Amino acid sequence: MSAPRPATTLRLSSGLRDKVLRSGYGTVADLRAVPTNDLVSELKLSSDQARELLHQLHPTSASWECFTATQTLELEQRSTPITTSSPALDSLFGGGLGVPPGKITEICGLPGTGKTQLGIQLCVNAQMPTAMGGAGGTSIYVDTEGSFIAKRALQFATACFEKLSTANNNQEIRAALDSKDLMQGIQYCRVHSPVELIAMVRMLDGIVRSHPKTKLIVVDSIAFLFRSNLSDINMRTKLVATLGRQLSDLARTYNVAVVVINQMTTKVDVPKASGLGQSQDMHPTSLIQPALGETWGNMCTHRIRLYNHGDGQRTARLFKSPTIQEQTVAFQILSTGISDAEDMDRPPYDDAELEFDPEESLLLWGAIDDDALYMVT
Amino acid sequence: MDGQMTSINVLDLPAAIAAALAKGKLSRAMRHIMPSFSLDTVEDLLLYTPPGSLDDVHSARFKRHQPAKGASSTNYDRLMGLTADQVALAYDQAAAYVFENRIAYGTALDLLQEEQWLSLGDPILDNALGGGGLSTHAITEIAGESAVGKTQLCLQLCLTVQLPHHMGGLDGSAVWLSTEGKFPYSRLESMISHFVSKHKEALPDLNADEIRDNIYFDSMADQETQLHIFNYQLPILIHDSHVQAQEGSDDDASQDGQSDSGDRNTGEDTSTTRSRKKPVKLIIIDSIANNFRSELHFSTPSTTDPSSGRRQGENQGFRSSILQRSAELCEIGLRLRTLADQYALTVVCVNQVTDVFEGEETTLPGAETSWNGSRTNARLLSRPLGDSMKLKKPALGLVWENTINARVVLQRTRVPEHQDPEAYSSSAGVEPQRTLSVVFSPWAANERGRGQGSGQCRYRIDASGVVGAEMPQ
Repeated sequence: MSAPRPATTLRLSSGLRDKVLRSGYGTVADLRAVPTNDLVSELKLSSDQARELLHQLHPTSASWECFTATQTLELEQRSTPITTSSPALDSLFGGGLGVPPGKITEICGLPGTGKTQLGIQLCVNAQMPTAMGGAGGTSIYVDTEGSFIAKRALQFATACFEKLSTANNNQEIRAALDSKDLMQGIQYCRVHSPVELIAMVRMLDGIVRSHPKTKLIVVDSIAFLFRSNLSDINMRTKLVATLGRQLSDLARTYNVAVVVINQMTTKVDVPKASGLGQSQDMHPTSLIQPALGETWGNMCTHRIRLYNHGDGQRTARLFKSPTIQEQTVAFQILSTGISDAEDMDRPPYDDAELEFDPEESLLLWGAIDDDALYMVT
Repeated sequence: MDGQMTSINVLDLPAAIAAALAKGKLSRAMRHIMPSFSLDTVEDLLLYTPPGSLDDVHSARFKRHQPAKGASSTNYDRLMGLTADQVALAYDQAAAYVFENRIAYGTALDLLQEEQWLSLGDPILDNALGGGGLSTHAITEIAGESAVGKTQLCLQLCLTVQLPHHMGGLDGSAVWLSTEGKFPYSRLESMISHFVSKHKEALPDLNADEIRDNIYFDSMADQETQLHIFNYQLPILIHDSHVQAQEGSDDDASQDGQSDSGDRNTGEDTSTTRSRKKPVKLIIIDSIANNFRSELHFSTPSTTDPSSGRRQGENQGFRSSILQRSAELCEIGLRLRTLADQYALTVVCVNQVTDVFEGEETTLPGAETSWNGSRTNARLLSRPLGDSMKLKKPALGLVWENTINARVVLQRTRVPEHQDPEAYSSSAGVEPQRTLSVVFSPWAANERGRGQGSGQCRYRIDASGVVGAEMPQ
């Protein structure tokens, strides 16, 4: 048995907390030992406060779902990741098979780096039949930007279908797959405001429950709506945290993969004026980084940033992962979809180069932009 | 914040909960701090009462009303006299209401059938843009230096948008919002006459008057006018035009029925009905950066953004004006996108370019200097074509770039004599080479150097407008 839990660690509203602390009960165990009625009269609790305190002292066993590591491992092994169609990209996720279910994966990057295209490709791939090692499910695409182009999805679906039917002679699989079916397996919705996004994410629970085959939810993008409408940074943080928690609940409860696309923003650091003797060379610096800050970043299991180096050379850089270290891989986007870069022997930019590439550091540090909405100070 | 506000009366809430939400049982002290507190709209419910356990409800603070220090521990259920479950019930109903009434939801197959494309009026140009031209429901930016043909291309779009669907148009009208002075009427006239003669066989009904009637023009001299137009006038114009077009087509149908019965109208009447108003399907903004760039330094900090401008100093003032610009850009972008989606519009924003300076001195945030252009970065107009060693990038920075869906860049280069005398003397002549490139777009695969659909083509400008030419291999 570890040290007794102090009563200060209970998550109580401040009025109630004062009452509890002033009462002299030092530990949670002390509080639990007192009969509830006595506690209420002794601390002069209102009925709401009594309920709140009880809830904290005696969490009901029903709300406490506990898994062992073995169970979690088994669940992870049973569930099928969703391939990105590029083995190199897939290798960025722990198992090497693609975007893992049950977790939030963030894809960020500057405009034109292929974020939406990757989202569309994943929606198509989520429907690969189980006989082919796919997830055999459906997907939901929540579009805040209007960048989901059905024509593009059809191109990807057609290419995917052709690849499957040439690679496989199994008639059943052929019959089961049709590019039209693939299109019907993507549920699409367009939202225009933070309020709509909040409502949509709230409704996803019911939608996933009524479509039990759902394997993938893509939100493209989480940042866009929060840029213009909410100037209050506290409120934005709170809403994003709520969305993130709901999405991760969805991912865990229904074991679906959640892919969230994020925009990049410029963080501007203005050196704090340190009273007197402020030196003249204290210029503000800026850094291009994913939007929405740390609160959001902590909610993602994997974070991947896409780069477009021009001339069809694209790379993806893993910069947060629970299992493997940071690394960069090359991929390409054709009209048929995403695939490995043709010249895989020589990835255009490897890790070391990226880290010390003077141009890259220029891109990061020298790029001055004007998005101060995301300024984190 | 959100334009649309819906009362909680639309929800099917128990009367006690609804009343408590609308009024808020405020103590006298609280009423002093927040006289007008209520959660009586669907939007407020969704924004201010995030779902979750009891803890979350308790930690919910009133950020909007900026309560004084003493009120910081207030929480909804105590304030409203509601339990967390009751608040959660209201929240869920609000979410369901918004989902059912405002969010379009369907499969990608439905979307495929709805998708429409606006032709640029030339197969090669369309091909460079992925086959169909510009997507509806989206904002496309056309960037380039002055005199490169941006306006010409936009004028051409004003004409092609009026074509029927099977010819690559949207059977609609165009709105031209200019921040740069006059509308190029004379150029439009010559393009109209070429346009009419070009489509004479396919569309014998096409006439110049009708084309002119379906291009609306307004100028936005300053930022204030611009905001007013975007917030009020433009949505109304678009809405009215769509309603009128709907009624018009109904009238046409009934008139056709009448004329069948024998009672033909006189010639004059038919000519007036023929020049019908089409629904707005294209918005052109020429140019988006103009007002933002000219007024940047003059905007006063503390008027709209109370959180900024507290600390004194030049830098602070500049920074807060940048903040304000970002917020306004985002707002305009979101408004245009919402309109585009609501009415299936194509929005085209003309953008200026700025020089990319060499060197890496850190500058003030928001200055238009940027990263070293020598990098082969697909986002810059970096490919030095011919003599243009001065590197350019579209104005307004990353905020704007995140707001648009697609970016098309027009470039013009003169072939320098000493480098390529043959090209200079022969085919190219003194005519500058012009290139259209898709920098990014969600609908066009960018497969440079792979032949068709490569996201790039040459073009030239003649009397009829912008004409595409294949990229030399």
